[in-house]
Parts: sequence; C-alpha cells; structure tokens
Amino acid sequence: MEALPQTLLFGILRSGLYALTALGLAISLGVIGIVNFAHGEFVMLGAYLGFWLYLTLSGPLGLGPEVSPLVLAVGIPLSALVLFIVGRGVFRFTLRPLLARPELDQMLLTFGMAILIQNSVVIALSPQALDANLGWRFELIEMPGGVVSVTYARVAAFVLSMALVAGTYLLLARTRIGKQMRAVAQNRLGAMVVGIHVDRVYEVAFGLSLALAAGAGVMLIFSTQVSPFIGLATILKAFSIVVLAGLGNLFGVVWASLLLGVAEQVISQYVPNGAALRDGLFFLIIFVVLLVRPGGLGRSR
Amino acid sequence: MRRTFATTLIIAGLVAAACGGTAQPSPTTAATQATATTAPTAAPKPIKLGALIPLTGPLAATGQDMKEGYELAKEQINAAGGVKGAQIEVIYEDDKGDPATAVASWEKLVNNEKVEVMMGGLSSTISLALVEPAKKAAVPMAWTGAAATAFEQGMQGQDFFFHYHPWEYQNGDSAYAFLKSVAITKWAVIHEDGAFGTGAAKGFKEDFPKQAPGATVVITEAFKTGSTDFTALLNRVKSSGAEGVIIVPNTGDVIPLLTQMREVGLKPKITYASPPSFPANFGGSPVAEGVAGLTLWTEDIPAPATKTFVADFQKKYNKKPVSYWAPLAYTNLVTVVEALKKSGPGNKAAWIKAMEETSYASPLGPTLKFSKSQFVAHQGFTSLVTFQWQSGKQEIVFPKDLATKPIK
Repeated sequence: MEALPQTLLFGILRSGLYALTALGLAISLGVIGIVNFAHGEFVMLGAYLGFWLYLTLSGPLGLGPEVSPLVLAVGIPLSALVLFIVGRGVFRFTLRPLLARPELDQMLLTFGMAILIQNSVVIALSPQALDANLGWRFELIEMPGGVVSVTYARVAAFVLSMALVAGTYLLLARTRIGKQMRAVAQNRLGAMVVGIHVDRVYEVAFGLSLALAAGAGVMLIFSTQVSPFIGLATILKAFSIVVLAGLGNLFGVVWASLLLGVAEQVISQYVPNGAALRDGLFFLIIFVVLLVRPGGLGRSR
Repeated sequence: MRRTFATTLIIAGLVAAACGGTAQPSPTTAATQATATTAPTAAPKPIKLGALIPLTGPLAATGQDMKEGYELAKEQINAAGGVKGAQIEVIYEDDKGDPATAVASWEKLVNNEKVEVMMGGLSSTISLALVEPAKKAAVPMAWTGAAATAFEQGMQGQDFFFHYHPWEYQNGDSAYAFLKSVAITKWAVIHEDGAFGTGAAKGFKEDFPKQAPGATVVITEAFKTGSTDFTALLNRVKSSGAEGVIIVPNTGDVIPLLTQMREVGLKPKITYASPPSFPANFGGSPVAEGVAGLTLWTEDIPAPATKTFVADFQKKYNKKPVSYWAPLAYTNLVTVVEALKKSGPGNKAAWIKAMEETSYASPLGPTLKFSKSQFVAHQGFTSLVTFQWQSGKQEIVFPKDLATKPIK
C-alpha cells in the first residue's frame, strides 16, 4: 500500500485532461443535442496546431526545448481561437441544416466528418507520428517527501485543464451567452419564446466545444506522440465520462473524470496485468450505467 | 441553399481526397525513362532487375532508404562497366505496404518486365503473400527483408531463394547473447499487448532463461500501445526488485515509457528496448541516454567497407543513411550483380552457383556468405549487434569485436 499516495496523485493529475475533453463533448451534446463523433479529431487538430507552434518557436526562432511554457501560453489561446472560428463555420454550414432531421443523420454527418478530417491530415501532412522534444516532457518536479516525482508537463496539464473547465463553468453561470446556452439546453422552445436567437447560441456553443478540444490537443503534445490517429483514443474516454456524468450534464463531468482517472490508476496498480485491462473499464462503465441508470449517475430519475 | 453549399463542400473534400490518393508519381516509369535516356544505343541490351519495395504507405520511409541504397550501387556498377558491358537497370515497384498490391506488382515484374532477378522485400506480411507466386515463377530471388520464420518455412526447398536479413530466431539469439553478457539475473519484461509485443515477450520469458542459466524474469507486464500513462505498471516493476528492464513497445510508446520510468524512480542497471524503430531524433531527447537495443548496422561499424559506403552515400545524397536498410539494399544489388558477372544473364543454375560462392566484405560489417539456416539453404546475415544510446549517438557495445564504446 506504500504506492497508494502516488497512485492517487497520478490518477487525479490525469483526470484534468479527461475533464477538459469531456466537457467540450458534453456541451455539444447538452446544449445542441448532437453526438459529435468528430470531437476527437478536433483535439487532434489542436495538437497539430500546438506542434506547429512548437516547431516554429524551437526551430526558426531558435528557442530550443525551453519553449514549453511559451507553447502553452500562446498555443492554447491561439488554437482555441482558430477552432472556435472553425467550429462556428462547421456548425453554420453543415450541422445547422441537419438539426431538424433525425438524429441518425446528424451522427452520420459527424462520423463522416471525423473520417474526412483524419484522412485530410494524413494526405496533407503525413501519417507518421511526431515527437515534440519539449523540456517539460522530461523535467521532473520533486514532490515534498521525495517519495514521488512528476514531470512539469503532467502538473501543467492538470492545472491548466482545471482552470479552463472552471472558466467555462463561470462563463455558463455568469455571462449572458452562458445563461442563454443553459436556457436553450433546458427548453429550446421556451428559449425561443423569450426571444433568444437559438441558432446563434448553438453556433457559439459548438465553437466553444471545439475551442476546449483544441486546448486539450495542445496539452496532449506534452504527453504523447502527435499523429492523425490520436482522436479515437481521446473520444472513447470522453464518451464514457459523459455517459457516467449523465448525457448532457455539464457539471457532472469533473467528478466523473476524477472517478475514472483514479479508478484507472488503481486498477493498473493493484490488478495483475491491469495496465492492459484498464481500457476495458471504460466500456464496462458505459455498459453498466446505460443498463442500470440510463440518465447517468449524476441525475435522479 | 445552405444545404446545397454544405454538400458541395463535402463532395469537394472527397474529390480532393481521391485525387491526393492517386497523384503519386510512378517510380517505375521515372526509373525506366532515366535509364532509357542514358543507355548508349550500341551497347548490349541492359539487364533488368526487379526491386519490390514500399515507396508509399506506412513503411515508405524504410523503402525510400532502400531505394537510395540500390541507386547508389547501380550508379557505381554501371560506371564500372556493368555486367560485361551491359548496363543494369533496376525496375522499382511499389508494394504500398499492402499484400494484394505486392502480389500484382510481383506478377508485373516477373511476367511483363521479365526481370532477371527479383530483389527487395521488407515486411514479413507481404513476403508471406508472395510465397505462392514466387514458387510458381521460380525466378531467381535475392530477398533482403522479412524475418518471420513462417516465411522461411514457406520458402523451404526453393534453391533459387537467397535471404539477407537475419531470421526472427536469429534476432532473438543476438539479443539473448547480449543480455547474457550483462551481469544481471533479475529481469522485468514490459511489452505492448499486440501480436508483435506478445510474441517477442514470450521469447524473452521462455527462451532467454534457457540460454542464460541463472537469469530469471521476475515480472512481466503488458500494456495497450498508445496509452499515455504507464506509471502504475512501472511502479509494480519497481517493487518487483528487477535489476534490468526489457521493453517491447511500439515506436510511439518509447518516450512516454522512458519518461515515466524516471517519474516513478525506476532506475534499472540496464534498459533494453526493442521497438520496430526508435522515434525520429530520439538521440536528442534526454531519456535516450543509456538505452540499449538491437540493430543490423550503425554507420560507425569499424569496417573499411562501411566507411567507404557512408562516404559515397553522403557524397551522392548529401545526408547520412537513415537506417540499416540502405546498406542492406546496396549489398543486395552488389552481390546479385557480382554473381551475374560470373554466370551471365539468363543462366539460372549458374547464377545460383555463383551466389552460393559469394564472399563479400559488406558495408554492414560482417563478410556476407550464404549458408543453411533452419529451413532454407541460402541465409546471409545471421546476427545483429547491440548498441547503446550514448550522448545522443548509437554506439555499438556488443559483440566485443565490433564495439565502438564499452557499455555504460
């Protein structure tokens, strides 16, 4: 049991990025009511933007591997802005015309979008995976007591993800557009009656959802290789978190991520060969939750 | 109106995707045209040799490396007068890393181009698909790659078949020989849970202790390739008391695994990694230091032929070979042509006999000779060398007679 504090710490740190990715997905599901299968591909696009920035800063500008804080400070807002604009465009020209159609049509659209984006990146760039030689990927922070040490990247990803999640919650709670989003989510017709421009709210919500995905993508280059195929792994976990939190329950995402992050770590640590089995955990959770409480654990029936 | 626009966008995207897929330049025509314009008209008919390698698709990087090796050898051979005055021509076909394409390309080279010898070969999966067409055509075959024992079994009894790369079990033997030389008895095996990792891990668990009495594998851990977090399993390895760690990851797992080993404070005396290939610029990352692995070749092998090859390669391409596949392809073409010089074109039996007499001081280090292996009669290289990343470079540390640096 001496590894327990470390197990919990890694589990908690890991849940930050999970929450950020899942929150974007939950917004498109909760506010607009569409299942965005392409969400993971937008995370991938964010990662490529981050990687491009890393290359530019460390290469031509000659800043070397010390650019880590700069990549985060510039990369996250930059890629979030780019994908916010892209998201609004994508919504306006592809999703909006399909909103009145059966849900299956919308799912087919986002599914096709995922395939299109992934293969466009393969063709335009390369299928080869890339590694960012960022200093923060490797530098260790010694934790008090000296029992465990973690990379700067791991801590930064958790802190920034949680800050972005908190920022999004504030936006939803305090701002006019945030309140409109919640109103639309609760009752589309009612929102229309009181004069909310529903389509515009949807468009902003979709842009916001992609902006969060982009931020998560930039942080991903600090922990894994960048390739056109990283979207799938990302979205599978995000989906199970959204299901666990209750479809469309925006505020349940954080604790669902924490629960899953820690559970994953505990299973890998204490179950023999758990590291190979832990991905199965996600699917077991989806299965059980949908069977027992289809509304999600966070909602009373 | 908007709906129409969206549909148009999507169709445009699909069309763009389709065009992108087919707009690849055809390497065959390019090669044919180049030789056609340079070959003098009065000289004897050029000798056609086929090279079946992946020039696009997931294995393209290695395939391109091979092509550069072939082109360098071809240039030198033709400049030195070719085969009794006849220029040689290498016709490349792209297998795209896909077995079905490879079979079609094979038929094209053998039946339409009527090549003298079939060269190339990289992936085991593709070579396995070629066993039947190869037996049917019975055209002389000088095959560089494919390490799978199943392929060797498939080509059993085919006297026209010559194979260069060591077989799977010879890779294993080279690895065990090195691991045995390290004074460590408690090992941990960490592997990805696909066919590649599971297969290699099985060898380390079962065969290695047999060959190295006293050595035990105290813990075996599997992980899903592409996971970003390995800390829990590394913690288990740490508490197992293993002194040496053997990892069988895919390329993308290498850096996360090594980084997280440091995070959990797992500091084995030796880390031995056998990914299909190390990540690009791996030497530049701080986690590379001290990691050992297996390769057929590095540019620092202390053999005169290696030095000459690297210098010639650099002169022609203004860069260093990316992997051992460039000198392997070079060796492939040079030895095939040396045998052709003795046998003359169109004489299969004489060519086989000439190949059997091959003794070539290759740029890969050892002198290439063909001898019997488990199933086939003509196996070229039989062992690999162990290197260790030291100050960003691959230094050979085993076997001792080829070592460029002692192990750290």
